[in-house]
Formats: sequence, C-alpha cells, structure tokens
Amino acid sequence: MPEPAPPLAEPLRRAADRTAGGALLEVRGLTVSFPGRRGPVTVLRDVGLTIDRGEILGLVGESGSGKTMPSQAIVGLTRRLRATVQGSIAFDGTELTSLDDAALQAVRGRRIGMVFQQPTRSLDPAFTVGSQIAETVAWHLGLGQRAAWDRAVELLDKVRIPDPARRARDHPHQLSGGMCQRVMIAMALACDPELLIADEPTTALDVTVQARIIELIAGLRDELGIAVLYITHDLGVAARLADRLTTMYAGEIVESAPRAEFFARPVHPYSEGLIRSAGGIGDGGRFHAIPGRVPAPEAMPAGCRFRERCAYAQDRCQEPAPLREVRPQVWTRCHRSEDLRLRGANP
Amino acid sequence: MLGRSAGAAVRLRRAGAHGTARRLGREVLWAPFTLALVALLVFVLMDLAPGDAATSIAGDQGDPELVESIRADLHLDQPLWSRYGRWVGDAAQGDLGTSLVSHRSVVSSVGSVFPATASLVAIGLVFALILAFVLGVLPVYLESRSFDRLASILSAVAISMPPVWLALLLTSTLAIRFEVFPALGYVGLTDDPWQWFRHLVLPGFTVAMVPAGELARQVRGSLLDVLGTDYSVAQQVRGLPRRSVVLRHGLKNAAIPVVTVLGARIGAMVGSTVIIERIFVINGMGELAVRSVGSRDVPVVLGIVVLGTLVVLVSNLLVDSSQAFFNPRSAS
Amino acid sequence: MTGLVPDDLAARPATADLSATDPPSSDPPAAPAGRGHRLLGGLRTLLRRPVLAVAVLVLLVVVVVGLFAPLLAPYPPDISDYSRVGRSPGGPNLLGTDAVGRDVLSRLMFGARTSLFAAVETVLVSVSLGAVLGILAGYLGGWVDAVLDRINSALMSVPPLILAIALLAALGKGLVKAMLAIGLVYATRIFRVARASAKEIRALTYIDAAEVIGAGPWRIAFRHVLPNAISPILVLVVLTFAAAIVAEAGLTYIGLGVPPPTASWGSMLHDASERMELTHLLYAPGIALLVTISALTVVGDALRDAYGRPGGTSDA
Repeated sequence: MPEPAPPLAEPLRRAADRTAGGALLEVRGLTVSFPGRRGPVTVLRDVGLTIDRGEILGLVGESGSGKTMPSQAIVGLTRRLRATVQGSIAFDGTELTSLDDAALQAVRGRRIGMVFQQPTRSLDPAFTVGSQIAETVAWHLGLGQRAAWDRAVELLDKVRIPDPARRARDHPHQLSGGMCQRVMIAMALACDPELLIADEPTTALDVTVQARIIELIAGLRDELGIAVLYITHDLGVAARLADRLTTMYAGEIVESAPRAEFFARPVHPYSEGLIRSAGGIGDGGRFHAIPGRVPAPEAMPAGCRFRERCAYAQDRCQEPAPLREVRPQVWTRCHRSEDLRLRGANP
Repeated sequence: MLGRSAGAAVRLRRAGAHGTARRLGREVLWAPFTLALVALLVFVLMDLAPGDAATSIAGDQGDPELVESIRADLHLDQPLWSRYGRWVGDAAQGDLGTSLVSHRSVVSSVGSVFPATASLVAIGLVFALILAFVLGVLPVYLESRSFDRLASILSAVAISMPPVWLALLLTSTLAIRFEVFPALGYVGLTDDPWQWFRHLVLPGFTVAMVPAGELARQVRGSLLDVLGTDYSVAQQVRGLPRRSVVLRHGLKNAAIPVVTVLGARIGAMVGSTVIIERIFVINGMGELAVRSVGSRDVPVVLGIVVLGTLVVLVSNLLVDSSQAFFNPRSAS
Repeated sequence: MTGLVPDDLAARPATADLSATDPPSSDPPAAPAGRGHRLLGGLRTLLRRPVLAVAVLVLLVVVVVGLFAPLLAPYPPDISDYSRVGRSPGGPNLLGTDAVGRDVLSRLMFGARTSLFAAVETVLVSVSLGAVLGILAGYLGGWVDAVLDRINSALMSVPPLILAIALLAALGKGLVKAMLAIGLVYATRIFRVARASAKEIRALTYIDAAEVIGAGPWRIAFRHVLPNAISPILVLVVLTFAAAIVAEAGLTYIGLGVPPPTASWGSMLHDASERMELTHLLYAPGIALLVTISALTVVGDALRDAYGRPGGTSDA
C-alpha cells in the first residue's frame, strides 16, 4: 500500500536527508541501439551519469547528440520503441533495466518525474488541469478524490500559478505556454519524487518566461531537495542552473565537470567550442559557431567522433577515446586533455 | 417564417459567432429551412413524374371524370407553388396532410409506425457501439497483434456484409434452425419489454453490422493517433495504468472525430430500415415508405422524408452538443 | 442502407495485412506525392500485398463474368426446367437449380452482369453530377458555392435509402431508374469531396497563374483543377461502386429494382428467402455479394492509403 504523501511543509529537513547517502542515479555503460534497415543503429554509446541527491546535473548537447536518449532509457520509453538497451541504470540502488513494466510504472511518476519540451501538447486537452494532476496523485499515493484535488491545487500554488483553485478547473487550451509548463512541473512533482528529469523544458517558450521557469526549478530544488537532470542545448541556461555540467556529442559523453571547473578550465575541445559559441563571453561579442555537423548515427567515424570538427586533432585521435578522469571530479574523452590549455569563460 | 429563420442564421454567422451554444443555435435555425428545401425537392420530383396519385387511386378503369374529380379534391390540379405553399403552411402548424390512400392523417400514420423504427435504430446503435468497442478499442488496449489482425479482418467483413444476406442468414440459422429468436414481427415496448427486445435482436444486429465495421475502423485509427500524441506519452511516463491511458484519456479524445459523424451514421441506419423492415416484417417507417411509394401516396412519402430528415438533424444536434464534452477546445 | 460511402472521409482504415500497425521501420506505403501517375507504378505494389492482388483479381473476374455472361453461362438464366427443380449443387448444374428449375450458376453470372451495369450507371450519374457540380462550386466560390452547398447539405441530411425511395416514387420502378436514384443520392457525397478538393486546389498559386494568362474559368476548372481533384474522388468512386451493388440487391429484393425474371443477386436472394430449405440458393448469391464488396473495400482502402487522406473531411 503506497504511503500517504508527506506534507509539503517539511522540505528543508528532507532536503538535508536527501543530500546524505550515496548517489541517487547512477548510469553506467548505457548503450542504446535501434533496429535499422541495414542492421542496428547505435544512438548512445557507453554513456555514464551520476546524480547525487539534491544535485542539478546539466546535460548539454546539440540536436543529434543523443541527449534525450538517456532520459528515455531511464523511464523506460525505449521499451516501446523496440530499442536494445545495454548497461546499468541504478536508481537509489534499484536496477531499472531489470524491472518489469508494472514495477517500472510504480517508479515512473512516483519517484521520478519528467517534464517535456512542448508543454501545451503534453497536457490532455479533454480534461481539466486539476483533474490531471489529481489523477496522478490519486493513483500513486492512493488518495481519495477530495484529498487528491486539494493536493493538486496546493501543487499549482507551489509552482506559483496565480489563483490556483480557479485555474485547476481550466482546460489546457485556456493556459499560456509558460503556465502549461508550470502545470507540467507541478504534475511531475505531484508525488514528491526524488528525481526530476527536465528535457528542454523552456525551448518552446519566450525568453522571459524561460527565465522564470528556470528560477522556479532552482527554487524548487532548494525547497524540496530534489535532484534534477536538466537536458538542454543552451549552455547559458545550464550555466545558471546546474551544479555540474556534462556535455554529450554524437551519442557519447565527452566531458563532465563541476560548473566552476567546466567554465574556468574546460578539458574537451567541444566544450570549449560550446562555451565560445554561447555568446562571445569575454570575446568581444563575436559569434563563433563550431564548423561542421554532428555525424549521423549510421556514419560514425572511427576513433574520436569529434575529430572531424576539432581544431586540435592529431593522428592519435583516430584511436577510440575512452572516458577518463583527468582531474578530480573532471572527466574527459579527449586524448589531448592534459596537453591542451583550452579557453574557458566566467559564467 | 423560413426567410426569417434563414436571415437570423446568416446574421449570427456574420457576427463572428463561435462557441457551442451559438453553433447549436445556428443549426436549430437552419433546420426548418433544410426541411422545407428537402420537401420542395420531393414536390418537384413528384411533379415531374408521369401520372399522379389520382390516377393510381382511380385505378385502370377510372373514367376521366372520376380522375378529374379526385384530382380536384386533392388539389392536385393546382400549380406547384400553390400546393407547396399550402403544404408548408400546414406543416408549420403540425399538419402534414392526409394520406391519399388510407385517409388517415399523415401525422397519425407516420406517428404510429415511428416507434418501431425508432426502437430498431436505437437497438442497432447500441449493438453497433458494442461491436465497435470490441473490434476497434479492445485490440488497441490488449496490444495483441493476432487479435488486432483478426479484428481488422472482421471489421472489413462487417463493412462488406450485404444487409439482405445477413438478415436471411441470421433468420435461417438463429430463428428457423435453432429457434433462439423470432424470425419476424415487432412487439411494442410497453406491451412486453422482453418480447420487444427479443424481436429486435436479429434485425438490430443486421442494422448494426455495417456501421459497426465503420465505427470500429475509425475509432481504432483515431485511438492509435491519440496514443501517439505527446500528452498520451506523458501519461504513460507518469506511470498511469494502461486502463486509464487508453480507456479513459485515449477514448475520450479519440471519440471526437467518431462522434462528429455519428449523426450521419444514424441517418444511414434509418435508411437501411427500408430493406430490413421488409425482411423482418416490421411495420415501421421504412416499410410504410415502400408501400407509399408503390401507391404514389405523396403526402405520406413527404411526411416520411421530412421525419427521417428531422431524425438526422436532431441526431446531429445532439452529437454537436456533446462536442463540448469531448473536445473542450470547441466550446470557447 | 449500407453507409458504405462514409460521409466522413477521415476514417483511417484498419485493414488486415496492409501494414497499418507496423512500426515505422518497415517499408513505407507508396508515397502520396504525385497523384495520378501512381496507377502505373501500382503493379509493383500489388505484388507486395497479396490481399490487394487477390482483391483486384476477384474484381477482374466479376467484370469479365459480368461482361461475357451470355457467352460463359452454361444455361440461359431465365428458362425454367421443371424436371430439375431444387437440385443441390453437383452434376450438370454446378451450383444446383432453384425452385423453378433455373441453373443457379448461370443466374449468378447474369446477376454479376446486372450488378455491374447497376454499379456503372450509378457511378456515372453520381460522378457526372456530383464531381462536376462540386468542382464548379469549389472553384467558383461565392454565392454559387454557398447555394449549391446548402442544397447539397440539405439533401445529405435525408437518410440515403429514404431519399432514394422518394425519388423512385417520382421516377417509377426498374433497374435504370432505381440506380439513377441511388446515383443521385451518392452524387451528394461526391459533391462534398469534389468541392473540398477544388477549394484546396483553388488556393494553390498555379491556378492564379493560369488566370493571369487569360484562361477562362471553365477551362481552368477542367484542365487544371480536375486532374488533381481526382484522387480523393477516385476513392469515393470505388466505395460508391460497392454501395450501388448492395443497393441494387436490396432494392431488387423488395421489388423496387430489377423486375423478375431477370437474374440479379437480389432477386436470387428473394427466391431463396421463399424456399429457406434450399440452402444452396441462399449461399450462392450471398457469397458472391460478400466477396465482391470485400474486394471493392480492400481496393478502396488501398487507394486511400496510397493517396493519403482525401480532401474535404469537414466543410466550412
């Protein structure tokens, strides 16, 4: 029998509880491939992530980098798509890949919440916003109708939607994009999860609205102590929010470092490129795009995948590059990290 | 009167009206115009035909004077507009004329056979919805490839099944060979509810078959579309049970395009009663229509056409008003 | 009546075997681009989908049998042989004989002929009325369009068979008139699709280009709009064909269609209903009808898949 929801009134104590103990999410060796016309196509290769309780991890990459895939594998959406998933996804000690559908359903929505990119399309147009939140709460936490509805209104208030009791009776088409995203966040938080996965939540929104949503997420982390996996292509956003940044390229992790280190001394050329193109920070405002494009999954070069676009490539880059810890807490996939003095920025 | 209703409807549209209430209002206002137009077309057609009711009443040996006097009695010698105008005027007051054959008022003739047809169509609709659920929704819910294949084949067969043959097959097996249901006849609901139902099973099933196949295919397609939307995936990611994702959220959204044409489907079912009532010897509207056509009983034919159209219009109205439930976006 | 011609054309067919449920990684169906020229490339598609191939074959058989029935039938369809009444299938009468000694197989073949003529007549009437008026209405717009559309909507609100019967009250009985009535009923459906299609195409810029060059409206309508409006109408034509065959059987059964002793699947069913103990009489025409309609349905679905959703599912 699922336990009754703890009241939202004692977040600080739980936040402290949460930051203690081992990593909340540990992904190791995650490899995902899909059946293709000429054989399986690998979209993720040997991906590893670690998120501690209460930590915000920013997963940054261009389109085509495969940055959405790890989150899909975590919540099990890959099962429907006939993907082959290898590797380990450990959530609070439980191996998610070995759970059957029913067990995974108990985790999804209850202990892991997810927010998607197109908020207006992610809400059921036929039901009121409040009833959708209440339904999740009722299902996972076993609350009655009245209690579930009250909790829904409380959550809408938590994500700072004005006049929540009235808004809960609205249908999604009556809400703006920013408000829909708040509702999605409220729904993701409904059962008091330990991990929130946000997949490009602000990409479809105005810049001003974007800022407020980011502020909201940061505030919620402080208040509730939840961990966040924040996926984005916008390094600037990640800079504002993340405790730790991980960059992905062509289906692989290429760098992972705490925020300060990432920006002060990046260790992978791709990260350097991203920092430079993030808007001429300390560079006189010139735009620097990284030349070239992400290779298609079917046509991956051997060895280092970034080789063809890298300004520092050498012969040895034709060898496959393993992920290694080049400094404490800083991981890289570049052969030349020790040699290179890459330029960072002050975020 | 008609001009006024059409004018009001046009004015509503120009006012940029949208929203369920206004849309329904518009439909209601156009309805009498539609009925009048349909009646006019039938009038015109009847006129184009050689001979008329007077000749068929008088029979072959009718001498010309008799035919003429019958004709004058029935006002058949008046010009078209005059007859039509009189009909419309009477109809607006609820008088649809008198049967040229039975001399009963049309309202009473048609009214007395209406319950049988209404029962038949109602039962048919229920059967069709149940069948459509089994053949269209269940395969999606159960996610069984083989059941889905089977259901698809059965739906295709259902659509292709000629009602005449189905009726005869059902009768010969279930009524004659196995005597499970009666082969023909109709019993009023108020007279004996159980017999009423028993007598309607075979004809109801026949009426339901083709619409069931269409509905099944349509709802299956619509449901699959819905299950691929962002919000449906989001629901699955939230860990909601399949029962809820498919049967609660999925069906409600999938019903939108299906319900939109339900009115027309009901109309088709009413039309099919023409054949089916004859086979199962049910004295309903369809049967009366066939008889009246044979005897060129214009007022009755008109009355049935008008009533049939009215049924379709009312169905469309009911269906449209339910749109607000299924598709809240349309209500704004 | 069969609502074989659905008023909504948004229905996505869930057909067996036609890969509707396969995931995107399998072969895609014939691409919807380039309407009109796909028919020639269609042979390849046929080979890939056995169900469709069988359906087309069935239809070819029906057409050939119908056209050449006088040559192919073993016995004349309307001559009674009282020495061989009510025989079961087998022997000289492959499908047996009916209650008055007529050969069932021959009557079945001539019945195909009747159905064929009925369907062709219906399609001709409904397309020539519906498609022409629809395209004109859609292309011209304005009050012509508004008036025609209103009239059409009003007619569509009448239950199909009831409208047909009312028309028959005016026209009289007989195959030609009956199918004329059915044709008029289905002209309304075709009108709707043709009009929507024409509107869609009208909105495309190359029509404006033609107008600028100075082509008159009639010419534009028929040389430019029509060829591209054809695909959705084609789907509807196939379905109308099927509906006509079923309608003919039904109307003949109740006595408003083909008069006896002409062979028709409908009259064969009527004869069978009067002698229920002669079960072979019931199955022959019934199976013929079912198989023919199924084949038409399969072909109709395949066309719909190939051409994408036909235009004009909901009118303004």
